[in-house]
Amino acid sequence: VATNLRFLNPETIAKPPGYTHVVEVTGPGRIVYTAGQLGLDRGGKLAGGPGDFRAQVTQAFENLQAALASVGATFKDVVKINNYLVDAAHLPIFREVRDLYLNTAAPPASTTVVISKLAREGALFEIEAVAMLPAK
Amino acid sequence: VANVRFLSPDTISKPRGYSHVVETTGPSRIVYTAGQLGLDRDGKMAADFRTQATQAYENVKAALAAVGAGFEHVVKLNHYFVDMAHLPIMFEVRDRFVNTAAPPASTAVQISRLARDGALYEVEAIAMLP
Repeated sequence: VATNLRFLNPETIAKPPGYTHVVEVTGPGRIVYTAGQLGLDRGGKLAGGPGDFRAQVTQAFENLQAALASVGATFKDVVKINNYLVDAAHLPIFREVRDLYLNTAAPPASTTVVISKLAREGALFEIEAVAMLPAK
Repeated sequence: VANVRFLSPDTISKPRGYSHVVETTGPSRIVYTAGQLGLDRDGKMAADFRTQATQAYENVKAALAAVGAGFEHVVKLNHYFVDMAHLPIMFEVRDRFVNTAAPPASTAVQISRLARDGALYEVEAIAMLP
């Protein structure tokens, strides 16, 4: 973890499962915004068969990893994620896959909401991230 | 804008009218706008989706202008739809406002309701300025 990042969980807020309540960034540095990533492969096809949440969420995290890699970043540099699910029943699988990718020792701050639909027909999950890197 | 890079790596499927990654190098000014609805200056809601979306983008433009920014400084857009069927119209309207040569990163979701009765679309922006 870059020295300009602090991950904090004040004891005044209930302990978060798998994320961090507060992430403090000290500049100067690089800020990276990613677009929301769906479970689409390079050819633009949804991963897995119809309704395969695990395949989609895994592909979405792979895409996020690729997006971060394009600027030399990794999941260690991620300070905030926003997660969009179409069905709250998928939460346990989401958490399981998420923890394979995040730096679980210092995970980003996180917001998760259930929404009624994503831009792509059949899409079950979307994730967007903000990452902070030291200046080059 | 020298301190901002817009990238879409070929490891991810090609995005439609947005960028997968936007990298900004500080120091710089960061501008957050509130989510903008299709409300005119008097708080009246535009009638249909196209006019609401157009008004919402006009509002974002006005918000940016208030700090000397324009759409060329926008690094991220978040879109909220009550009905995703409106997506193609949003694309059309959006492309008249954003810098289509280096468009911002983007996330779009359909939600069940917005804060204002009758609102069909909301858009919020993050901009970076020297």
